[in-house]
Amino acid sequence: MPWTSALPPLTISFRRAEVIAFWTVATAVLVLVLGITAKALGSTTPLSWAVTGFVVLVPGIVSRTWFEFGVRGWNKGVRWLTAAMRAYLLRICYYVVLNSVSHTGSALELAVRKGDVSRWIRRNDRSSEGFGFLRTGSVARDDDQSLLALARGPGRAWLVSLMPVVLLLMLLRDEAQDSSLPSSTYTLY
Amino acid sequence: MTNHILGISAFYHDSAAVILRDGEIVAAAQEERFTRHKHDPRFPANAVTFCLAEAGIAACDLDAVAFYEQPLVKWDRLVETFLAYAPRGFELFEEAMPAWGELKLQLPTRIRGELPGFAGELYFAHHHESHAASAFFPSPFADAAILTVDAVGEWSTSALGHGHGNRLDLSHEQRFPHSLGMLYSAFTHYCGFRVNSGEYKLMGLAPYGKPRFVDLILKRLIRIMDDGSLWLDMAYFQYASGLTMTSPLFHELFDGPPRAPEGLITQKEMDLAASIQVVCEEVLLRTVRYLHALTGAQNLVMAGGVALNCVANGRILREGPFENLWIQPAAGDAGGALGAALLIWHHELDNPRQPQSTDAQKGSLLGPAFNNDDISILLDSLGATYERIAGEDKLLDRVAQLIAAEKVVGWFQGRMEFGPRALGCRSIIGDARSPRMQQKMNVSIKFRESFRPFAPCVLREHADEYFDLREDVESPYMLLVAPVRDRWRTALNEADRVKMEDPDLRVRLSVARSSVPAITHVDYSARVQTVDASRHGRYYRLMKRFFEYTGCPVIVNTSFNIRGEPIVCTPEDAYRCFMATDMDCLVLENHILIKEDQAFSMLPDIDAYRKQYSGALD
Repeated sequence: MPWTSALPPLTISFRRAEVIAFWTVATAVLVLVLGITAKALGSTTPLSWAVTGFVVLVPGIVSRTWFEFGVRGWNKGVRWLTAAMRAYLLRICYYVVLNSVSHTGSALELAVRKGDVSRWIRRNDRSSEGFGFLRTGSVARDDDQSLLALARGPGRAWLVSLMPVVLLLMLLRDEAQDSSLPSSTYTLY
Repeated sequence: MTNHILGISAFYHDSAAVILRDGEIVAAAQEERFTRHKHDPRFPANAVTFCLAEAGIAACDLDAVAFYEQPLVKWDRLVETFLAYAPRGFELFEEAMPAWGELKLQLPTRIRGELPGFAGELYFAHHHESHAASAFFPSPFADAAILTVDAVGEWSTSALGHGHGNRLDLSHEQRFPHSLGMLYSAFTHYCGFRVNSGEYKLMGLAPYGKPRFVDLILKRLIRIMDDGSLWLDMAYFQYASGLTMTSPLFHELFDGPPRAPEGLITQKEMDLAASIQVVCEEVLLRTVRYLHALTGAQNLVMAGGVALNCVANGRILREGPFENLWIQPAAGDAGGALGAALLIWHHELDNPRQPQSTDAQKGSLLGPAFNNDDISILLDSLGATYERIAGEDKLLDRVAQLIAAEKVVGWFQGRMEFGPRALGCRSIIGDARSPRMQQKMNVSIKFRESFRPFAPCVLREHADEYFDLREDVESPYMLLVAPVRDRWRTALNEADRVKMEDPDLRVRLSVARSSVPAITHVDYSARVQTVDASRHGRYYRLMKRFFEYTGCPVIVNTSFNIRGEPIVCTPEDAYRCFMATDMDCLVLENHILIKEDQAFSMLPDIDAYRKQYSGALD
């Protein structure tokens, strides 16, 4: 099978070509961004900034060590920036959005009711009162499982404001993140 | 035309898959058994693959897939919880929100993506209805009251209902954050055990203590209504707004911070365990009395994590108003996969149901099985020294003699169990009469210093002779605790009484309290599994043979694993565990391996093996 045995080198060459192309484009982009930014900020020597970018990146095209150093730096930077943006986004969402909405109250009943003789809630009687009180045996399907479906419930329209947050979180996800909680708590979600 | 429904539970605690063919359970397994990662919450890809193979179909042949809960309703509860506590509770929000953004709000796409070719209906049942269905539909009853109790599902923390024929109706529920399961888990955490897996340890610790904190708990933490419903004072708990179960106020109430994991267990923890156990039993007893009045049913079925509290189950059976009790053996979230699938079959598709005289759970032996030829090939490839015995008679003779000679036997046969208990197919077994058995199994095999005795397996027809169980009551899923009968108990002498005051619980447990000391707890109770011919086949015949040799119908049964390891699934898992521990022999279907015959060079790195599971200590 002569033609298949020739495949691996071809693939590797192709990958190399791909990487070199990427690096060249990255260098060009950095040169442009630095030059334009320097100009915009009123620098008298925007060209020297552009050349600095060129000098920093272009050795990566020929030097594997320089290339790996650059990739590692890029990955670390992206991870750090993503984590910072995620933390910022979550704080804004919690302390601004949720905190504001929380003043309208919550469905969580924390206080004991005076003269309470039973805490059992009849399920079917309250099917129309709010989300989560569904009739016995009712099952949901694919289409019911979107945030928009939830937002259609009574008093839930504000949830639409969380959609951009959810979408951004999808973009900013960290696949390496350890999502396991400590053994001291019960996972509520 | 044949109908196949796949049930799935995932992305919460114990992921699992189940497949039904025309309403009959064909296969079921928890993902942790395949991945060797305890309580694995990931999509059960391996379990699904196994279920499909067992049914002989591909994903594209499935008629429907049922997921065991409704993520969006859970999301609603989560958001309402944040609204109740904001601006506090950011830590929990920071943990939860990314998981939702990345996965749980796109569950339909994710599930379909995992099942290439599947184009049928994808259903989402309610968490507690999945539990209810898993309890009622496989039960032997045509009519039964239903009780589901766990920590929390979507909004519900417990539910009451009634099942009749192919219908079930959950009429009442209690809602988060007021939860018996959460209350029990809070004490589990405070006593230094791992939440959501150490609850059974707390239950096992209770007999050592005195319930001196009951009044304080009832006065400050919980208000129990006559009908068993409850209200928790959330000032003492932090599970709704933080990353711990209990608040500083709780710690102040009980004079100190939570016990450090693996720290010394003091009388305080024992008394706390006894106290919360009493409270838990009181709540459940009031609830079942109310449920009985509500439904008028004679039978009760239960599911949900709290239904694994077999001490409470024993009291419900003995002191409760119901004649009969059946509990789903996979009572936790794994069983939700089964319930969701059954709910679709009976409710959504309106198929009739014919209760079976024992039950439809098939002994909960629903996992993978391995044939003798494959095992021979494996053992040859591993270089193991073994004997393959052709006839079952000879095999049982041999194993019964080994048990009688106080050998610890790894017993691997038939289909793997579905649920948290080893029921005689992936078990380590030994002689319950031996006063040394308990310590040997704990220290040399399980690698733990446990204060709990092992569970007994008893021949069904002798169960009421040894244990305080009604003659017609069976416990095939090890979900009932019953006292050892007086006639088998031994009186304590002065030296024993002194030992019973020892702060080291192992010393107390070492006091032989009956003629079957390895399975008798300090309060003379035992977590009983009755073994019968129809469900347990070869395992029953082995016990019968042991009984013929020794006159004792009881043996010790513990799960085939070391501490923190999921129960073994394959012969290879079993062989590795056998070689890494001081187990004397291993029986893999018709193959017998004796430890002394194995080449020393085959011994694995024991420390590495133990370390592999040390992160998931249970």
